[in-house]
Amino acid sequence: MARLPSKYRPKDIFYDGAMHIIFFDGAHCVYQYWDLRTACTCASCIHEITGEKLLDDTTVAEDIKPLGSEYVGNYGLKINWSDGHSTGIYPFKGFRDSYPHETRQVD
Amino acid sequence: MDPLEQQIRDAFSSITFADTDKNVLEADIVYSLEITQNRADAVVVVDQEFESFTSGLTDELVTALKSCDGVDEVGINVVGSVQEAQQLTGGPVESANAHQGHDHGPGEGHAPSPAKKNYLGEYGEVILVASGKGGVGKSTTAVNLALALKAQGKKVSLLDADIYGPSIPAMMGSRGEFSEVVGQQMLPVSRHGIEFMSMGNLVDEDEAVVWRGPMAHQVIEQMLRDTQWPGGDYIIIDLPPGTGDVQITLAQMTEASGAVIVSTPQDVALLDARKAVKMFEKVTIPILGMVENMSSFVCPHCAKETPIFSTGGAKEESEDQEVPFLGAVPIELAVREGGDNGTPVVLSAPDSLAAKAYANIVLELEKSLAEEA
Repeated sequence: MARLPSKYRPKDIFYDGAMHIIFFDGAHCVYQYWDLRTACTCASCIHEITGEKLLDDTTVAEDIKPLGSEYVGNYGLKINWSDGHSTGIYPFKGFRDSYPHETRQVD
Repeated sequence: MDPLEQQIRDAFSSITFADTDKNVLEADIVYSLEITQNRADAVVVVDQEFESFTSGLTDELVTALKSCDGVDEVGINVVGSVQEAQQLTGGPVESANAHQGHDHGPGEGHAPSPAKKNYLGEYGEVILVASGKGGVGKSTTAVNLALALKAQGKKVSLLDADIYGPSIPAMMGSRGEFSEVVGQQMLPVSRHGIEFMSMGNLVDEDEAVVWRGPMAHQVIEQMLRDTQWPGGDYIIIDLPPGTGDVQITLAQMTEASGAVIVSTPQDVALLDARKAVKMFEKVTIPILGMVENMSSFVCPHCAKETPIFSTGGAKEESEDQEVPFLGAVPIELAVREGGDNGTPVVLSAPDSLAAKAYANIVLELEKSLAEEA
């Protein structure tokens, strides 16, 4: 059991109206802010026990955007959203496997 | 600008910051200021180098704010860095001066690239020593690994993250000694050429630490953040048993190189060791390998080997889990005596089987690290 495979390890992350992640395997993925905010899996957005979604997507503003973010240990990213929500940790795996995104190029 | 804001700015501009010739606005130390009814709360960032001016400065700020119309109560929170201020206020809030042209990363109004907030960055490798079950010899393994690495010429520190049952002070011979506090920083205790921090050197050993999760989280963060860690090649972290709050906190706040799982050869211990492996997989901390402790008993009188807790179980388990097996440490009187006397076996009986086993485990550990890099 080694560390995460390179396809899950971000090399660079930046924001320019969308979120961009360049992974160690060369993929450049682009995520829309609204899609990420509504995909939050923290305990106040998803019920801890039943797994039921508690967040009503219609309450998330169209112009939602990140104000800041920070890496969490080896495994994820915490995003501080403009609606004041900041409890979600987005695991790096999710950025390739679950969150909606568009892959621009793979070198 | 509203009249109160103007009034506050005027009042602040007449306060000189520390021994500089700037006022507090020019020095940009006021991170945030919030007025709710008749109460003003300010978060002020004062760098360590100006720490000695803190109390005078706080008094001046309180007086200045109270002189403003409608402000009767004042709360001043002084922190050491902008990061702390951000945490305190729940996110990056622009400071009073920020609108005047501070650049916040690329582009207009976009969030900057994520920051790395990882403690213990001053160490080459951060190694977690963990187990599923208690009493399998995590602390014994941690101190002996640290000393075996030290014997190879490495610079090593230790962090005892078992805040409820700290064992490191007894094993390293620092019982009854307290970590010195300088300013807002704690100094690690030093023994056998290794610096370490432990709850046992912060509270009296007869006191019980009775805390719920959030407190445990805070004290771990303090030990990471507010300790003057000397830095070096390795820091070994002795975790409490299980897969709880402290483990998660450490996984989130450090960029660990990997974890060493300690188990006895018994099935019950191995079952829980498996859980520890799974936990580290979830937070993507590589498993550097398993150590089998209390592997078998070699009789000092007749040299006959007795597998008291069975033997070889951890080796089989590591094969099942596809993680490296780092080595087995036999049950020897010298291991127990070394731990109880404050001079671990690697130092007190370097020719013992156990000490040799630790030396080998360290070599395997370094191999494992080299593969992960």
